[in-house]
Amino acid sequence: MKFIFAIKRGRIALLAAVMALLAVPGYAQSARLELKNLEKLSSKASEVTDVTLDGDLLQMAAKFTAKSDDKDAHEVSDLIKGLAGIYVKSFEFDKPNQYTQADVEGIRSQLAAPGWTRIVQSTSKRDAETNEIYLMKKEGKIVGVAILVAEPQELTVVNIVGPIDMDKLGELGGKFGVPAQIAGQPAHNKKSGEAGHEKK
Amino acid sequence: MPFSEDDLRAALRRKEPSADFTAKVMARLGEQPAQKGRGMREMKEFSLLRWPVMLRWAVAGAVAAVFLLGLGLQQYQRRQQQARAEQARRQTILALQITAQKMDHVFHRASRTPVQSPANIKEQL
Repeated sequence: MKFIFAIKRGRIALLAAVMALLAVPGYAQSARLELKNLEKLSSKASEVTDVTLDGDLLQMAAKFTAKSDDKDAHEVSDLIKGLAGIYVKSFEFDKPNQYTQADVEGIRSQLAAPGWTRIVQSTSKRDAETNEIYLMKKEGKIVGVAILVAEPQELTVVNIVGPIDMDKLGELGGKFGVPAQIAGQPAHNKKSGEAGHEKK
Repeated sequence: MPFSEDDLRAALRRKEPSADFTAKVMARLGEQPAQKGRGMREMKEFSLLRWPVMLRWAVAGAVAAVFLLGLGLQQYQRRQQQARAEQARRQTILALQITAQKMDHVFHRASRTPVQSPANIKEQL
């Protein structure tokens, strides 16, 4: 009898080990970035924009937007329908050197994980700024986007989790205050947001 | 338990009823309708129609209040959900604005470096 229990226990342990091994790559492949280490910068920043939209909220927003008669609203709804999350943390500071290189490295190290590919990087030593865009692809489809903008008086991280159509994102240009053309055009003036936007 | 034929005969022997048997039966017959009548009376006493007018209004008011409270609660929950959805929509627009702005910014900065032209970047996308 004891022998049978020992075999059963052994099987359970083996099953647990297999499940754990399967779970690790799944976790590693997630496009969700851990941004909690940036929260401490809120106290130093003069302007903070913090948007946390999980899947449920996004789907609620998608449904709510889809009810609108506006064609543009339908485009937004289509864009966010399949997303699992949008996370934005943006800090603007009155003076430089309010965040450390370690804060940036904390994000960049996550983007060095397998699955992420840096598609754009611009570094200016003169302006002391780094701008990067990363994509996570699975089976040829984009399943995650990360944008990292680190300037002397600004640090912004955007993380989109889930399948996103970059063309559709581009099509939103000129609507809802989204810049008219993405890429190759001069940057537009910043517009302050509504929700989750805090000016000090 | 064994029993003889005599026992059986004795058991089946005709017996005369007691003198008060008829009176007892009649008394029982008289009792039953009286009990039934009492039950009906009790029911009528508890009937809504026999309640005092004020009590009737109070009960009706309480039922209406519960109904209205339920309706109000439902409306409140619907409005709360709408407000949450509206806030989520605004946050989504804000997030998309920032995303597009930052992408625009990064591409613009990258376009100034000779290695990564916007055309190359678009191809990569």
